[in-house]
Amino acid sequence: MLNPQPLTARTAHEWGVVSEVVPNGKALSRARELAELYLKAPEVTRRNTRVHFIQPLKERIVREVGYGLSLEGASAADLVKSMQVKSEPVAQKGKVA
Amino acid sequence: MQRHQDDYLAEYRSLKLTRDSEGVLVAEFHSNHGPFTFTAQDHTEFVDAFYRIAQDRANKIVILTGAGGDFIPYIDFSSFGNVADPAAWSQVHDEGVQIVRISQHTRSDDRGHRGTRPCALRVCPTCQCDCGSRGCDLPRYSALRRRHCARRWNFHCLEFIALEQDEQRLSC
Repeated sequence: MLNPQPLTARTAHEWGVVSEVVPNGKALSRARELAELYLKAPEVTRRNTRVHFIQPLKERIVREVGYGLSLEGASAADLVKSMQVKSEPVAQKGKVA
Repeated sequence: MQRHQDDYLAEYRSLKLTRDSEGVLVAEFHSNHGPFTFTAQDHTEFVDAFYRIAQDRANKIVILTGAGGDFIPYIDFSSFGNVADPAAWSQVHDEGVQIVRISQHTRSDDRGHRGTRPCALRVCPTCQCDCGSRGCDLPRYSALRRRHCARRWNFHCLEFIALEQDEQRLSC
């Protein structure tokens, strides 16, 4: 985050950020293919399978999102402050002197 | 309360919702049908949008995507006002917290599925635990103590407990 670089689809795949990489423009049609496949499972099985696998993720997100947003807000305020300082270098020097 | 569940589909400025006959809902982020620029208004609207999507059992599968070959490529920071102002950020914070919690908090209020759940179901579908009948020494919960053990118990069991209590009340 402190040295942000674009992430290629291949690297995202290697890191496990995405489960599959498809050619440009094919993501939605591939998603529809997967949807068709998933719809073959009975509805309650499908819903409960999803619930089971997202449960640990959801618990972490619910636990951490408020704290994360508080950190983000404080960091945003710090960023605004640093931009104000940069845009007023003369006034800052004047104050110090 | 019964209400039309799909009245939200055309409700959101930057989220195009299209559902096919199989129940596959495509939710597409967009700005004027092109690549999406995320604004403070969207931040507010999406809390409601994702709540309604989650609540509607007619949505069998949700595909989340973005217009113009992008997902969320831009953000309009100025629309959020002065993010260094605690009052402005407080709203961002609250909406962010609501959007991840809301579907869980409302699950037990979503009674739409009550009629389809088999009344004979007697093992919690979430923790799938029947250890009470095998002399498990873990603490147990609820009026139906033997069906929810502490090891695997979680908040989805609450929904099941509520459902079972309803069934008893209704002598189902």
